[in-house]
Amino acid sequence: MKIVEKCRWAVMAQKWTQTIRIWWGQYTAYRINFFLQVIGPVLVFFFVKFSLWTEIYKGMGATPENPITIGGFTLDGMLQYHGWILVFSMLTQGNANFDLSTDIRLGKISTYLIYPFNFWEYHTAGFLAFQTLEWPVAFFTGSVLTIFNVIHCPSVLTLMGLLMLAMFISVLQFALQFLSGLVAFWLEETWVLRVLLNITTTFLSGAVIPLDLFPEALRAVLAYSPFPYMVYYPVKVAMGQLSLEPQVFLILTAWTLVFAALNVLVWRRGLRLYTGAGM
Amino acid sequence: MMNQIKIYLAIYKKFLDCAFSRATTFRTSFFLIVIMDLFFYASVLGSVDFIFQHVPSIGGWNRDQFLFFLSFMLAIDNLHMSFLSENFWIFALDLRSGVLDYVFIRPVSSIFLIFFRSIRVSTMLNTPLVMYFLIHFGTQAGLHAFDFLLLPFLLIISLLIMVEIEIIISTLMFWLIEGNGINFLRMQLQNVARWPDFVYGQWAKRFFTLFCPVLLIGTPSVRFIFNKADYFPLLLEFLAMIALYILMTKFWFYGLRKYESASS
Repeated sequence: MKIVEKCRWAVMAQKWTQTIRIWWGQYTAYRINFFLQVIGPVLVFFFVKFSLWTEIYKGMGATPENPITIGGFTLDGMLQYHGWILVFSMLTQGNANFDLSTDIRLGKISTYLIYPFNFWEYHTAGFLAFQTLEWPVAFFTGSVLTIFNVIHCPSVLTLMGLLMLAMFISVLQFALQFLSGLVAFWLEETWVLRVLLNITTTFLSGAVIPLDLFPEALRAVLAYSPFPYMVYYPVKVAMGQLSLEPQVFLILTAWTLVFAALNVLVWRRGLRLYTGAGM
Repeated sequence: MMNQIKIYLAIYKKFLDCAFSRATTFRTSFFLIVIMDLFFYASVLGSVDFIFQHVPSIGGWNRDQFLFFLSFMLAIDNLHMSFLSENFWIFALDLRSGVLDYVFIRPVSSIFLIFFRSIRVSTMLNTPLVMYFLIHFGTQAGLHAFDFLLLPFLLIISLLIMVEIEIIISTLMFWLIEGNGINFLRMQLQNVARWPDFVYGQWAKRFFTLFCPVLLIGTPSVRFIFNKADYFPLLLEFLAMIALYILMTKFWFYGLRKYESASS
């Protein structure tokens, strides 16, 4: 019995490994495309914010001798904030929506319904493959920013905690993207939801400007949403301005479970509508 | 010449008819695009408004001037999203699938057929709102009637420069099999252009003014509106528009020669 159980696990591990390999092949087949589509946007986003904040502080007459603060941030602090956002964006961003909505729209999910590796497993393997490609890039970027003194490396313990937090955030992002992709059962163009999700998350998570600069009322409302925990909170922890609280992992898990449950519900409803024409 | 214009206008009318019928077919997507645009406008204007609650000016511009600049860029973005944006994505798809073969055999300009055929009606629904931003923040920034009369002309020049740059960049898709990356590059350049040129450091400013002139899209026009003595950048913008048009047509036809049909 034990041998059978072991074999089952070995087969499953092999299935996952092979699928992740297939995804790696897909992502890296067009390397320039991967760079322009995944890494380029976050780099440009950082470049624009770096330039903007440098000009703002310069305009206010900030110098090393006269460190002016805006919302509690000096220029170095603000650049460090955005430097950490760059690293965290790479660690946590996913790319799930596009592929899975294409699969639904083009009727490709019929094949998954008879495969021994189902639809969500296939796309979860894609998510893992994407993360394993993104993490080395994030480490490299983090190292470069540390060498140029834009960000300061926290203690090993904090760093480990942050990496774990990044995993939780990326799973939440994946659940959200999966949900927006599943809407392809009803909608012709799911890219709209993807962009809408991206705009909302980027703005309300404090990735454009720190939440400290937001009006008090809006900040109070946001505290009840998952957004501050996706960027603002981990970055503040990385900067040593907040401590890593265990309840944040619980909050992120709770939100992930909510979206995972919604995914199951939407998938079941969507499948009832699905017609595998020509199969 | 007049006959040619009439033919192109008649074709464009057909494109518009198709766009309207498509918009009424996919109604949920239609309204989602409207909502997406509203969120985008709110995030762009909101970010700067929040910053100005903590700083008096950025690069010499006060809150109203800065918000007017952003409204100007949002107006260009709105026109671009309404009449052009979707075509760049379709171009990437058609190039991969071999659909372009049928475009090239038609007796109409390939640039016209590829980059002007798809129109997004839903974004047009937000045009009055963007125009309201432009008028509201323009009035707040102290613009006169003459400045408002200049606005359509300046918007068109800026939009043309943006489109010319984007078509030049998109021509690169003839060499790359997967064109979506190029579309993301285009979007990143739009992000760079969305901020005034004084935000950028010396080298970045030079690069994005002379080599990849995305900073000529909005800043010169708005600078000229604020200060009529600051006409040199606008002149540069006008010259760039002509130079980019020549470059665009030459590069496009060079790209066409490199085209290898995906269907053959």
